[in-house]
Amino acid sequence: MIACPNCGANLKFNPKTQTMLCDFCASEFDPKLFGLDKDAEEQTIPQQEYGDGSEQEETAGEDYATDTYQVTIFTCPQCGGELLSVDENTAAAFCSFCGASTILSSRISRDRRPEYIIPFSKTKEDCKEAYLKLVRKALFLPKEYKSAEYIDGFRGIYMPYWSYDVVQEGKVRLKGERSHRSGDYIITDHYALTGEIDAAYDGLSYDAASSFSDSISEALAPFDVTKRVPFEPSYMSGYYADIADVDKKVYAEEASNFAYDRSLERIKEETAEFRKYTITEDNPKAAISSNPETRTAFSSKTMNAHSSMYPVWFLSYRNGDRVTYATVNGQTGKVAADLPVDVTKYLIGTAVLAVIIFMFLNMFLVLTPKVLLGTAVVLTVMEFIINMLQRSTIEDTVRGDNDKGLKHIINKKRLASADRKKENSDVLPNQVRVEEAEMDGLEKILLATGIIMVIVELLTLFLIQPVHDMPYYVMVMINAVIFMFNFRYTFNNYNIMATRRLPQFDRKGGDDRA
Amino acid sequence: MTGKEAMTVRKEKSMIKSRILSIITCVIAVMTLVTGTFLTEVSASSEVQYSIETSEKDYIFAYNTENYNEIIIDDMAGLFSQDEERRLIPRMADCSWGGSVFLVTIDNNPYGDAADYAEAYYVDRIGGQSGVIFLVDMATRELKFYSDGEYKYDLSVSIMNIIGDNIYKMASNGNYYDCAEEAFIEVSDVLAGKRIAAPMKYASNACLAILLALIINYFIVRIASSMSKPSNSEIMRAINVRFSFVNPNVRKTTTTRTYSPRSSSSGGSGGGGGGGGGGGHSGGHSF
Repeated sequence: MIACPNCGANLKFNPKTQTMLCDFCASEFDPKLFGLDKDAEEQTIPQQEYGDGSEQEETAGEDYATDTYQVTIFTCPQCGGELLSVDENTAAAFCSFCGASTILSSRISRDRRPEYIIPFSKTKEDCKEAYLKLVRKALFLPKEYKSAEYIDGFRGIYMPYWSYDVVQEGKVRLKGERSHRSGDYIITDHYALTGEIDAAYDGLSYDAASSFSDSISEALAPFDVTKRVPFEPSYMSGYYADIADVDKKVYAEEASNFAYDRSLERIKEETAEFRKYTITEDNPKAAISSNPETRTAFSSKTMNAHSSMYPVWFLSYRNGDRVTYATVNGQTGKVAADLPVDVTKYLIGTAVLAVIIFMFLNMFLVLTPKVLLGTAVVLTVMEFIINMLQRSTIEDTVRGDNDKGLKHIINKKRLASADRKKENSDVLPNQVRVEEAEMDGLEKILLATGIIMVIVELLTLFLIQPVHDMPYYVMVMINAVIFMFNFRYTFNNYNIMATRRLPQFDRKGGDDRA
Repeated sequence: MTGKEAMTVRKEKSMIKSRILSIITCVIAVMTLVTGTFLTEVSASSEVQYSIETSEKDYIFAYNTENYNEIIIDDMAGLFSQDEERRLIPRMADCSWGGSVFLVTIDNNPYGDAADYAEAYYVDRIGGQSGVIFLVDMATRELKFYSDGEYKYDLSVSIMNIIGDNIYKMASNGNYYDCAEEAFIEVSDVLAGKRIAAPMKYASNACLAILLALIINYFIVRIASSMSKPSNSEIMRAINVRFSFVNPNVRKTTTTRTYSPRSSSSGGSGGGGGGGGGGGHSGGHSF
C-alpha cells in the first residue's frame, strides 16, 4: 500500500492528473516520490535463462532488471490466473481472465521489477465511452455486452511487454539491377549497392503475457513508448498487473525483421542514387542472423529487451465454457474487443435485409433459372470455403499458431509434460486435438451432399442444360436448404472465433475443460 | 347509468361502427370491380385497326392503318396453318401502336444463335426503329424476343425472359399457335402498362434475397469485429527512431542476357468507329 503522508490512507494513481491522489484527504503527490519501495528490502532474482547464449542474448542479459518489489498476488481458484497488486488491503472479487465471480485468494510475494511503465492516462470513464462507441456499431452483439453493469467491470491492468531496441550499424550491401531490351534479348545489368547505415529503433513492443493474446495486443498497439517512465510501484496503486511469462527471445526476430523492413524502405525511398535500380535483396533473415557469413544486408549489432508495463483497461465476460475479452488501451483509448453475435438479433437483421434485397431485386432483376442456379452454387461454395477458413483459424488459435507468446508457452508445457511422463517429446502442438474445429455428423453429411450437389449443378448448367425450368428450381431449393443448414455452422464457428476457451494457467487451480 | 349499462352501450356503438366499416368496404369493393370491368370493356372495345396485304409474298404482311407500322408473320418453319396466322394478326396488331411487330419461325439458323438471328432479321427489316420480334427457332429450340426503339424500354430483357418463362411449355408441347398467341397477349399487356404473371420471379428473388442477406450480414459482422493492426507508420511514430544512411555507392558487377523474342503481333493502329446506337434487347427461353 502507498500511504498518504498526510493522513495515512491509501493513495491511488490518478490518470487525469498523473499524480497520486488520496481519496480521504484529497492530497496529491508526485508518483516518483514513492519510488523507493521502502517497505521491502531490495532482492536480487537469479537472471532468467534465455535460449542459446548468442551474442545478442548475452548483451541483452546485462540490461535485464534484477530488482524486485513487494506485491499482493491474487490467484483465481478456477483458472489459476494471477494478478498482481501493490495494494495489500484490497480484495479482488472476480477474475479478469476467466470471468469467474469469485473471491481471489491472495498472498504477499515479491516480483521482478519491470524497467519501464507507461502510466494510465485514460480514466475508466474514458474507457467506457470508447468501448460503448465500438459496441454501438456492433448491431448483433448480445445486449449483455452493452449493459451498464457489465461495462462497469472494466479493470485497469498493467500488461507486461517486451520493448526491444534494435540497432543497425555498419556497411550495407544490397543487390540492384536494371534491364533493357536489345533485339530478342533482355539485357540485365547487376550492381552492388553499398553504403553505411546507422539506425536505431527503440521501443518495438510485444506483449510478454501468454494470457494476453497477440490479436488483442496488436489491435491495441501502438503504445507511445516515448512517454514511458522508469518503473515505480506507485503507478500501480489502484490498478493490477499481469505476470510476464513469455521469454524475451520469442519476439526478438519479429522486432529485428520490422526494423530491417523499415530501414530497407527508407533506403529505397530516400537514397536518390539507388532509385533507378530494382533492389532485389530483401531477405530479413540475413539481417538478424548471428552468422557473419549470411549478413549480406544489415548488421543488427545490439538488441536490448526491456521489461515494461503498459496500461490496459480489461473486461471479461464468461458465457458457459467460453469467455470474451474487451480491452481499451489505457494510454490512447484504442479499443479491441471480442464481439460475438446474438442469434435472434442476427436472424431479425437478416429478415430485414432480405426484405430490402427482395424489393431491390424485384425492381431491377429477373433471374433466369440458369443464372439463379449459378448464383446459388457460387453462394454455397463461398459458404463452404468460409467454414473451412473459420475452422482453420480456430485450430490456429487453439494451437497458438497465430500467437507466438502462447505457442511458446504451449511448447514449453508440452515438453515439460513429456519429460515428466518419459514420453516422446516430439509431440507437436499441431497434433493437439482441437474439439471446436471438428465437424459433427450432420455437418459432414451436409458437406458431402453439398459437394455432390455442386458437381451435379455444374454438370446441369454446362453439360445437360435441361429445357424445362423445374430441374433448376428444384436444385436451387436443395441448395438453399443445404446453405441454410450449413449456415448454422458458419454462425457457430464465428462465435467460437469471437470467444475464447476458458484459460488454464499451470499455477494453481485450473479448469479441466480448457 | 350503471357500469354494465355503459359497457352495453359501448359494445353497441362499436358494433355499429364495425357495420358501417363493413358497408363502406363492400361499397369500395363493388366500385372497384365495376370500374375495373368498365375499364376492361373500354380496353377491349378499343381494337386496333389493321389491313392485310394480299400480294403474293412468302410471308403474311399487314399494317396498322393508323400509323402504318408493319405486322409480319414469316413462318419459314411452317408451324402455323393459314387460319392460325389470320387469327394471330389481331393479337399482333394490339402490339403495333408504337412499332412494328414480327412473328418469325425458322428451322435453319445460319447464325447458330437465336438472339443473333432475331437481331439480324429485325435490323434487316426496320433497322433501329421501334418494334418487337418474336422468333421461334426450331434449329436451336429457342424462343427469342428482340425489341428496339421505344419498345426497348418497356420490353426489357427481364420482361422478355418472364414472357419466355410463361410460354415455353406450350412450345415444348408443340402448341406453337397457343405459344405465339400468349406471347403477343403478354407483350401487348406489358406495352399497355399491365403486370404479367411472374410467379417464379418472386419465388427465386425471395430465395436469393434470403441467401444473400445471410451472407452479407456475415460479412458485415466480420468487418465490424475485425481488430485492425496499426500501420507501420503508426508504430514508427510511437517509438524512438534514429536513421542515417551515408556514402551510397553503386558498382556494376555483372551483365546477363536472357532470350526473349518479341511478340509477332504488330502494334494495333486505328481506333474503332463510332459507338452507334445502343442496340436492342433480347430475351426468351429454350423449349
